[in-house]
Amino acid sequence: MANRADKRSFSTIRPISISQSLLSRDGSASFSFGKTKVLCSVNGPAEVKLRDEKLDKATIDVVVRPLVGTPGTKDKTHEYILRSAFESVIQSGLHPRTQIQIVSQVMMDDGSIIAAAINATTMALIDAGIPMKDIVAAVSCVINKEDQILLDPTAQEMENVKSIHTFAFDKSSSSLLFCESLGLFTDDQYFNCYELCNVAAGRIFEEIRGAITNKLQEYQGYQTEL
Amino acid sequence: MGNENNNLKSTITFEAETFRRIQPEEYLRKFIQQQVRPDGRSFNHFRKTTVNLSCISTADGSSMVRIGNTTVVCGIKAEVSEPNVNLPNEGYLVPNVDLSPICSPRFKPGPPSEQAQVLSENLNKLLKISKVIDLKTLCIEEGKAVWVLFADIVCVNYDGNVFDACVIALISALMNVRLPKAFYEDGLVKATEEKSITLSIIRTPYSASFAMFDGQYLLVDPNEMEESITKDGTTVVVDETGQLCNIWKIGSSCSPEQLKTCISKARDRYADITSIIEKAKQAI
Amino acid sequence: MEIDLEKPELKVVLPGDPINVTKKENIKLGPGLTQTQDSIICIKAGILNHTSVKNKWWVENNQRRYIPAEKESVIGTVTYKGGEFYRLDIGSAHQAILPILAFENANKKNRPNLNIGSLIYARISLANKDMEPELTCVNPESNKADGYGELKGGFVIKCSLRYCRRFFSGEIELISLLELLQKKKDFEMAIGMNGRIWITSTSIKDTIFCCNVIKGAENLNCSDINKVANSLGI
Repeated sequence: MANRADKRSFSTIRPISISQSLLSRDGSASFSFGKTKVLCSVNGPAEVKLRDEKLDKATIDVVVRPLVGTPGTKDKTHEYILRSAFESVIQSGLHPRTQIQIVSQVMMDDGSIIAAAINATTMALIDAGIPMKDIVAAVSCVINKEDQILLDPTAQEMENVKSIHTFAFDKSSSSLLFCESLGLFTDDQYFNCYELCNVAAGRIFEEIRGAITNKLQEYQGYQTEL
Repeated sequence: MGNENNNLKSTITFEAETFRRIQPEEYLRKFIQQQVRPDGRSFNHFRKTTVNLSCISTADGSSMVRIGNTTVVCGIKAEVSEPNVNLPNEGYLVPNVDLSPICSPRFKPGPPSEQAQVLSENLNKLLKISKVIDLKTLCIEEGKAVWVLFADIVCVNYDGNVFDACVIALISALMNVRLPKAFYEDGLVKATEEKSITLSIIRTPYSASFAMFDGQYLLVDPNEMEESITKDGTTVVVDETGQLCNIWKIGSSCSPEQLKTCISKARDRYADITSIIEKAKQAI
Repeated sequence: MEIDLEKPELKVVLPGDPINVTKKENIKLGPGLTQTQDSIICIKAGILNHTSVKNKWWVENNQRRYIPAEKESVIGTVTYKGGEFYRLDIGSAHQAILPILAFENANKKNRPNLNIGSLIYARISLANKDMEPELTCVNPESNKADGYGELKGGFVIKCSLRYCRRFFSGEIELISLLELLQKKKDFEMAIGMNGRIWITSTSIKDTIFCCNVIKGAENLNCSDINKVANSLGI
């Protein structure tokens, strides 16, 4: 049944690759789904501009940079999505009157870019050691003209579809934190996509855990055996 | 304000307004625990919604929508332009939302705020991906001239749930558009005086928005105060056949059951909006 | 510090992971852990550590941003000089305050003379998330300077917070490396828990040499550190 252009089955995500601590910021990471790649850096808790200062919590500032050109309304929307998804998990009350800045740079857009940006941000926040009560992972899917659900679509697969869905879940309760569904779809289709993406998000959490474990083992190697 | 009676047991009491300012979240929670909202509505009650069509005489189509105190005006202006080279027989529909300082002190003058840009982008996606109007019918002469519909939506008063108001205003203004007959002759577009052509609208989606409080109380049609405290929003857009066009959810976590409740409430709301718009059509 | 030897494998935790504590009484939660209602969850990714002495639990990670904590020694740069206090950049979100009277033998008449840009080795006397951290250059146990105060000359290298902690935890390889270096070059160093190490020596050339050795050992494992140490010994 594998008749997608890249020989994946409908419910498989593209190979994930994660790297951390790439930049000299407090935290940075890149996340890719196949060719789609987002680089994210996190700085903070750092000094905040007086105008943005909040007395009881940290200010979360998100900047999304497109691959080419100046940021437009689409990037502003992505900033809004990232901020609202992470505001609910970051323990901003632990660092009042500071700023946590998240910069998300699109490196290559081959579909599912919001999902990749959310996952890259999760990795960068972990790398920076920002206190979070949970972590977030996102996956996209599309329903094509033949009513088939294609998980983690490429840019080509996102064209001429009936609907596009992106879901972000948290790890501990795997409940929905963010969802954007566009197009035309029925309740059943929507909840089928929901389930499929929820399972795929579980796989991403495994990948994240694997990446963190590898990195920590590397560091642990520097230390004397216990 | 100190309660100056000689009862020693009494603690300091505050006026409700002071309490609201100091502890907005706790203030809202006290109401919700009594199954009522600060403005006196029940959880499932939408604010009074009114629609006025053709309220701007200089526009080709217009409407004014009020949801409680939230007021938005949508004016559609049609202009002639050259089509995109890749899509020579399709016109354009450009929605733009303006949240000016007039509607709420939280918006500053200057370039559009993030919220305004997000609203414009979401409306644009809704129109494009759900195919509200057939852009091919906006073609005057293939590859030469097409109609461009600029849909400017101005928020006059901001009291929460602007997206719902914008969708109703935009769709009802599109229904209200009357275009002149246009011909393409020797590089010029000529149009008749009389404006009689209506747009062919494929789908009329309307939205319903919700806010979740404390992970269990679903408040329909949140006002500004509820929006800012809950920092949560779910919007469900359905069309006339009951199909879903858009689901947008941000903020705190929610379960599939809660989403199902939102979807069924959005369908109920759809029927109400249709009857409101029918009434508005008869009023002109 | 005793690490529980019953679980030799690394216990990697991610934010949101619940922590199962075996003994529920008198738990001390360190960095990276928090309590929600009746469970303990992790808020940072890292390696879960536990000592049975005092039943302490904490998460060790490799964060780069310094979060001030009381009793830690840090290296800061003076950025502001006021009548009552100095302001120091210690790499945290807020600048730290060093009162003029927080020096050995300081009083209204006899005040220290520090200039903007001076390097200070100080101890955090107050750390609270809602306030600027406060520093002191007096060891409260002895009421003496005990090495705190201005660091004159030398050079500061920046490194990870974890590397600085390793020096304090008395890691054998690092200590022997320093001992060997000491035999070869006459140098002095101060380690700030905020990821800064200050080194000075008799000549600039020797200072650079020492800096490079210490900086270079950061990303080496213990056997490589031994190799470096041995090559220095020759």
